[in-house]
Amino acid sequence: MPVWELLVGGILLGGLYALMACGLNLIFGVMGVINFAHGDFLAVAALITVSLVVGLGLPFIVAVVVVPLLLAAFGYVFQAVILRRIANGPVIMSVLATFAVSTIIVNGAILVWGGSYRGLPGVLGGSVELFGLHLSESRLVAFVVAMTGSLGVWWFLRRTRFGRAIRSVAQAPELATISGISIDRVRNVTFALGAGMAGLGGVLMAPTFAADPQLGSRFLIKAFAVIIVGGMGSYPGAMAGALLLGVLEVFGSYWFGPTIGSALLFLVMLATLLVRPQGLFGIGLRT
Amino acid sequence: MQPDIPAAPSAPPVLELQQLRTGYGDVPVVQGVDMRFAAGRMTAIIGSNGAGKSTVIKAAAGLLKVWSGRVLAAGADITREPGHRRLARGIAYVPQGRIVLPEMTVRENLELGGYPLGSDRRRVKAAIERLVVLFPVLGDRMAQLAGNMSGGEQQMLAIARALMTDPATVILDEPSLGLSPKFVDIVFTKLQELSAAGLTVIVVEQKASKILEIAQHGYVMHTGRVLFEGSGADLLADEQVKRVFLGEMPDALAASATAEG
Ligand SMILES: Nc1ncnc2c1ncn2[C@@H]1O[C@H](COP(=O)(O)OP(=O)(O)OP(=O)(O)O)[C@@H](O)[C@H]1O
Ligand SMILES: [Mg+2]
Repeated sequence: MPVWELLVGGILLGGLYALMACGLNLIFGVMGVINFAHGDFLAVAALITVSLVVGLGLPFIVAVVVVPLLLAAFGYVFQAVILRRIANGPVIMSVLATFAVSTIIVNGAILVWGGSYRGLPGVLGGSVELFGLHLSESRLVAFVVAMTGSLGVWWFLRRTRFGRAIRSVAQAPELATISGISIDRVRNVTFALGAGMAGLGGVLMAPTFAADPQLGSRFLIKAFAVIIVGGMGSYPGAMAGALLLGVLEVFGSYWFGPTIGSALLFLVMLATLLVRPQGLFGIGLRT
Repeated sequence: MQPDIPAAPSAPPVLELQQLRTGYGDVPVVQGVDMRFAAGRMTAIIGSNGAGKSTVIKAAAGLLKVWSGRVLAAGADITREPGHRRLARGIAYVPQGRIVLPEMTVRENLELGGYPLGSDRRRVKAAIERLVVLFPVLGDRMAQLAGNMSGGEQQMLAIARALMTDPATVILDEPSLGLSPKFVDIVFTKLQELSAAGLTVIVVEQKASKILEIAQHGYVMHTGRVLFEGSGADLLADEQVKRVFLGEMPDALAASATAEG
């Protein structure tokens, strides 16, 4: 397989990682919460997508719109009802809370969907020729929508009034409060946004990767690798780290097989922790 | 007790603290403080390091939970109201340490202060233009990152940001901290101007004699309590206050802050 094809394949995969990691990193950067349920948001979104498209026969585009909104709503309620109450407690409390929700989601999903893999046969199954490369339609669509989503949220954070409010809460919560910004509201929206991004990632991966209720933890740990390499709390860092690790995984899997390919990510993560613990862009939630 | 304002029983003070108690964790810091801040007046709160000055006004600004007692704004009980609603009541706050968002530009910092103005760009722009007149030093620095400004300029920015919504009252915590003498004078002159223009100013200061010269009223705090209260002139003249609080204090905090900046 030519290098170009691998490179493009890696970038396409990286787009999905970016969506997932950016949401995770946004939540961490603004709220200081490590959301251990983030991967499960993605898994459930993929499974709901399968049910909507295969079970109810709805068009895929419906899932693209509805499922992220569902997950965002769930995220909003989870933050407003549970995380908000423990926001001032020790970090371990939010870790345990998100871990508990993760376990509940996984077990709930097993009850609803069973433990086996489910895919979306026939959705975006074609391939596209671009610059002489054959690319799977589903991966291309996933990449384009995922990058649009990630960049869109970035634009929202940079350019809108409420986006600025979110960033100010991340950088100086007291200053945000005295500027009339409700920290609770910012946290609710942030968590909803992150959950919605994970939801969109789940929808987009459904046509390419078969989903199962336990998929979440496998994705989550990759997302951790991405944000550690990119820089905890840095939005552009998460994007760059995602593309980098996507490419690395594809090349590694091609040359050394999928097992070593995945392991490579974590080698790079460990190396980052040792050599440059702040990551590529580890500078708080700036730019 | 307050000879310098006409007694108007119909107009309650813009801000009033009644028997306020608060602290950090379960360590009490402020132990039953009563303060009244009358409209249009400049009130200074002085006292030695650790007296609880910042803690009192943090509680007044809604940033710290009040243990007991009450906070009243124009007579309304706001003791339990979250801090982000203070601005809507016309009470702005400038925290200690000239806090700005260093990675945002001067304009973005001001826009943040104008958050309650909503997304109407014209209102925000008008507010910025009004403040540039008050703080000309900010005018040619709009696109500069706040982190790259000098300490004095950052303090100006922090004050200007608090005034974006045109509040009736501003609470400042040691605005002179870490500034060179020239800038201390500039800041104090600015406060005097603002006060003369009708703004109610509540200012915590270590530069006690200097601030009492321009403040109409003052409180002297010590170990979480108010020890003395009176007009600026009375406090300046009081032998006891003079002896304990108006001596040339070794302003170690200021020195260390200057070294940082
Ligand atoms: N965040 C905090 N956590 C715990 N204790 C605190 C905190 N902030 C202040 N204190 C303690 O509360 C007491 C009063 O502090 P405060 O900052 O109100 O004093 P201050 O009068 O403003 O002093 P300074 O002039 O040095 O600013 C001090 O003993 C201080 O150690
Ligand atoms: Mg203080």
